Amino acid sequence: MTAGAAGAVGAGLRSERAPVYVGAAGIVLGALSFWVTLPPVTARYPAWPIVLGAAAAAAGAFAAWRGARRVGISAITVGVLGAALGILATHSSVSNLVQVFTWSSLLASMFVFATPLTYAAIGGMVSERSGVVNIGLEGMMLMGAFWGIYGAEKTGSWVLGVLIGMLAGGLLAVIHAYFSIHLRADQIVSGMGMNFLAVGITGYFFVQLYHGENVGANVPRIPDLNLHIKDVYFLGPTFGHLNLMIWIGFLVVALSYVVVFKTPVGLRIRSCGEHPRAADTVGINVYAVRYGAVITSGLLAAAGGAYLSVGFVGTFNENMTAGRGFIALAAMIFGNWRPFGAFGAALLFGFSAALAFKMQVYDASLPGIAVLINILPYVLTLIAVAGVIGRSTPPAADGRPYKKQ
Amino acid sequence: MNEPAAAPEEPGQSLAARLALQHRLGGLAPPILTALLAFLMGGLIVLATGHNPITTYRGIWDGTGLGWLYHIPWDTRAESLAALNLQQTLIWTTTLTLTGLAVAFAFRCGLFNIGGQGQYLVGLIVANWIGVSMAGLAGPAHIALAIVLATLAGAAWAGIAGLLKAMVGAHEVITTIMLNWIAIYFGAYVFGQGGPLQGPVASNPISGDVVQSVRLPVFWGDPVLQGLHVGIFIALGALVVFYIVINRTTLGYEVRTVGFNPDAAAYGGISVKRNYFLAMAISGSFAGLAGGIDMLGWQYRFGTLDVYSSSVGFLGIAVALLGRNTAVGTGIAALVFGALFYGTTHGIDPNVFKPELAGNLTSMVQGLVVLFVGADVLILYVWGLRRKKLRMPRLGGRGV
Amino acid sequence: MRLIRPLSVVLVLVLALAAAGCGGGGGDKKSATSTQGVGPLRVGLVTDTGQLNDRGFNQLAYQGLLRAEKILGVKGRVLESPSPADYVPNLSTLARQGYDLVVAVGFDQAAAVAKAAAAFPNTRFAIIDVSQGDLQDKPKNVRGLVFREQEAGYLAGYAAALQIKSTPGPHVISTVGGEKQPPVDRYIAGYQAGAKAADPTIRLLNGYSQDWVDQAKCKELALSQIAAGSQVVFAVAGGCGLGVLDAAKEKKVWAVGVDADQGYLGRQVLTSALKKVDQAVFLTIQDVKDGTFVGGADSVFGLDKDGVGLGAFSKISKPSLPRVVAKVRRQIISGVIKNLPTTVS
Repeated sequence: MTAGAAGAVGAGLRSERAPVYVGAAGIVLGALSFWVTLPPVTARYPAWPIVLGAAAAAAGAFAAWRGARRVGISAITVGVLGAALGILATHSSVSNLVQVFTWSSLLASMFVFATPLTYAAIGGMVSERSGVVNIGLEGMMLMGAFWGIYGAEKTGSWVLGVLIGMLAGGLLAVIHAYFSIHLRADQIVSGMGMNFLAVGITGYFFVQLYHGENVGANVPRIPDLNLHIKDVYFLGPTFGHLNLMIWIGFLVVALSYVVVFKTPVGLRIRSCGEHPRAADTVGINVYAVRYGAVITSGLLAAAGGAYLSVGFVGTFNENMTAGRGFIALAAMIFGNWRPFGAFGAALLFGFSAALAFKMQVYDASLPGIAVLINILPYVLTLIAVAGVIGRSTPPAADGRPYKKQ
Repeated sequence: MNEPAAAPEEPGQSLAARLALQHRLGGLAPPILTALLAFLMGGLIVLATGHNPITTYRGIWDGTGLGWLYHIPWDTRAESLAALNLQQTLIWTTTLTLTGLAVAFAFRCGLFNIGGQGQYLVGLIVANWIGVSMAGLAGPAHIALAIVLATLAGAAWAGIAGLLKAMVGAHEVITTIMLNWIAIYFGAYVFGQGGPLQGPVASNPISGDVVQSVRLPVFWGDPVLQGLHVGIFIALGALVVFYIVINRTTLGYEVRTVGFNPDAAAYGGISVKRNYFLAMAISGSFAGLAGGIDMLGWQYRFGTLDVYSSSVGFLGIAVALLGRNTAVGTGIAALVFGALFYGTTHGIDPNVFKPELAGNLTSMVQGLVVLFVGADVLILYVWGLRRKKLRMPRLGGRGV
Repeated sequence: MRLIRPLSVVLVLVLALAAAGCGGGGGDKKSATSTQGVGPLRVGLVTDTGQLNDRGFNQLAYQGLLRAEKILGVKGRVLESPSPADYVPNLSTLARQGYDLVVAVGFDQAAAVAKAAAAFPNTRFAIIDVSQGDLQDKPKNVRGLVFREQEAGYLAGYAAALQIKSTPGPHVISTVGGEKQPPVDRYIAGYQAGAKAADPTIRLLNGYSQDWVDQAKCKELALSQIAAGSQVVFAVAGGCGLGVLDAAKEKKVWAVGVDADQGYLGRQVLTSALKKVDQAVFLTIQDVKDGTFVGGADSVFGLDKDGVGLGAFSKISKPSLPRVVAKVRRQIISGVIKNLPTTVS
């Protein structure tokens, strides 16, 4: 009987699809190795995460060896990371873990952090799909954050404020577009210039207009969307009081997918990004499409920034975005220039930021080390661009200036 | 139907090639004009917001201490203030020279090293570690060890990006940006409360002080109050090393060739991958050296807040671009930006113009310089006019 | 030809700037005219990295300086410190220029003040929140200005616990600190003790944002404490703490301000734990003017000298609070309530 069973398992393992399944199982095991140490399970012996993590890594190694490289390497990564985090968690006290992992609060935090990233990442995706690299997302987000709250304060309306913020980001994008498309400047240099300019402009006018102090006690804020699901277990606390911009962000992701991948407009954008010469010959105005895409990216990134100031914090601080634009860039790359991929990456990075912050705050037994969790988005992106988990393919003509013949 | 293979769009000239072309065509004029144009636009913004640009720029000038160079003997208190300002300006110039060289070296190979900030921090962290912990070593050996290890740390940090570029073609802009942030959070951890390099005061997230014997000697000014240290000579030496390596060694020749045209270089037998790695590593070593010199020269300690607010790596980008990636240019641009940075954020008299406003003016000028250089704005203009006047052929084939 | 015109404009501007730079001799004209000794007293203030826009700590010190300018006729100057590396240069700049008193704001500047005081033994320094005895080499030209924040915190905690005493369910209050430093912890320890005195069953939460400026961080922290049940959040995090007040407004719970009276920011602000830094600075400047400044010791400011206190109560708070809190205040001053804790476990 056992011989027969072993034979069957052996045969199963040699089949075609086995490596993928084994690899997928490895990913699940890796996630489990962290999850078991958290409430409500709260396993306390480091043996648990180590064993589960090792099993995940073994499964991943097997899968990779048998050809399912992508799944396999992912399983190894998740296994190692999960085990490491699990071991960290066992060193922390149970009460601290409970405080950190109040899941509804953690997830609500995740959305708050992920939303600016989502807007900017989608914007970046649109721009790069048309062939223009935009690393000035950080600067455009910052412009949106400052001018958004300025507009909200001056006009007394958060809608106008957000629009004014978006306009500011759009203007910066126009400059980037002009330099990149018409003057055929190096797009990376131009993007960096945008970032420096934005820091200077927003900082200057923040001091000039507000003396570097709070923008005002009663600035109109973007309202929350209050769903009446307060008592629904888990969904209630998590989704019940999210800000309007967060919900609009979900819409933006879905909309961008539809527009870029299912409409003629999107087709034009993508063709300018893959093969502009061919697009030109078919009569598409490459310059116009690229301008539109870059300006869109500016508008969206600025909207994300406006959420940060008008929606969440209620005021402006110098250099408020603090690198979020670069995380958004990472999310776009990690999501392989696809809307839902970028959104998923933004959520993942938002989760890690929320986690890092909470652990930093609540864990006196691991002082300081929790700040290292913040490197997760960047390490993951490095792994992604190293092509270890499948190729990281930007649009073919991304970053190359186009010259109309 | 034979669809033409998705031929890569005409790539245009690489950035290195364009900047080299600028340099040959224009000489000294475009950088000066670029800087002036940027200052002019900054002045316009100052004017538009109700301040006097002339007094503002004069206030910045006074803050830089460059006025000391034409000695004011009748006002001793002002003279010593100008001297102090000049010392600080030159301290920043030292740092910016090195971070500028880091960016410049990579550019020569056609690579954009935005990771100068991270490489600087890594060098600084290592220098702090050596400087604090190995207190028993004799002075010169201790200094040498700290500086060498800091340089190597910067090289290794950039080398990661170089390796990724060489092996899998990962874009160095992305990898260096990621590495920047990893370095920043690592620094925040290491110097933070409970971190391994945190100093003796448990509630301050600041590192320990490097021991007295490892600090670089100060040759001008009061050591207690941050006088000018000998690191400036190391920076000048680095300029010379840069020049020699780029222009007089085989490595430099290969690096430049790869920068102009990787395909032609490969065809000529040069290992493009090896040069990518080496260029990034050497580039990082300059930035790491900057971190080491800063730690031993005047910082002596570093805190989490310092890690988050430091921006010399990014200023280095503007320095390199303004200096057209040459040794002499980088040195002069470093002085310009060092003076601008110190003069606006610290040296300026607050009654003339607020330092917070002035500091942001520096960022704006930085952005404008980067933008104008990136687009060859003035070169296009100048060349376009000369071409029309002399009826010369178009520049570089399809480029312009 | 077309190039000449714009180039010449640029050239003229360059010459103009050069002329402006060369002419006039440059340098600090002010320092040339005001010589040492005679003339108004010159007082310098060096902020910490929270800078002047923190609506509390640094701003209070600045207000003390302004009041001294108005009433005592001194000439003041403020140097802001965007990063810790600026402390020593700022302090030395003021000392070098012969200021009669240099005030350093904040615990972070302790090491810097020790250095500057050693380098300029003839300049008078004052440092807020640090005891002179804690400075390296105990310089004799420095006076420490320390506060009994725990007394103000005790009153705030007592008021907070009373305010929520009649609400149903478990009673929870929390604190958001900037960094785990003695002045911050004194506030928190007092707050926790005062709350426990009013309501022994009360639960206490505590966290540190590790930031004095980024309001998003403090808001996040407050939100998670509120999600864990906190009904009164005490912000002890400088400018970052304003995010706490915002979180309380959003979630409709109470908040307690710090250092300055932050009640004007909204009705959710139950009260504020005051630290009269402005008063301390003013009195110290007055000492210098009167010639009674003594370095090498501390001035201690507590409830008794009106150095700390409690701000006005929110319009929608319980009407009985002012009376009850005043009684507790008298008990602290008279010593009936004593040995308030100064550290957080």
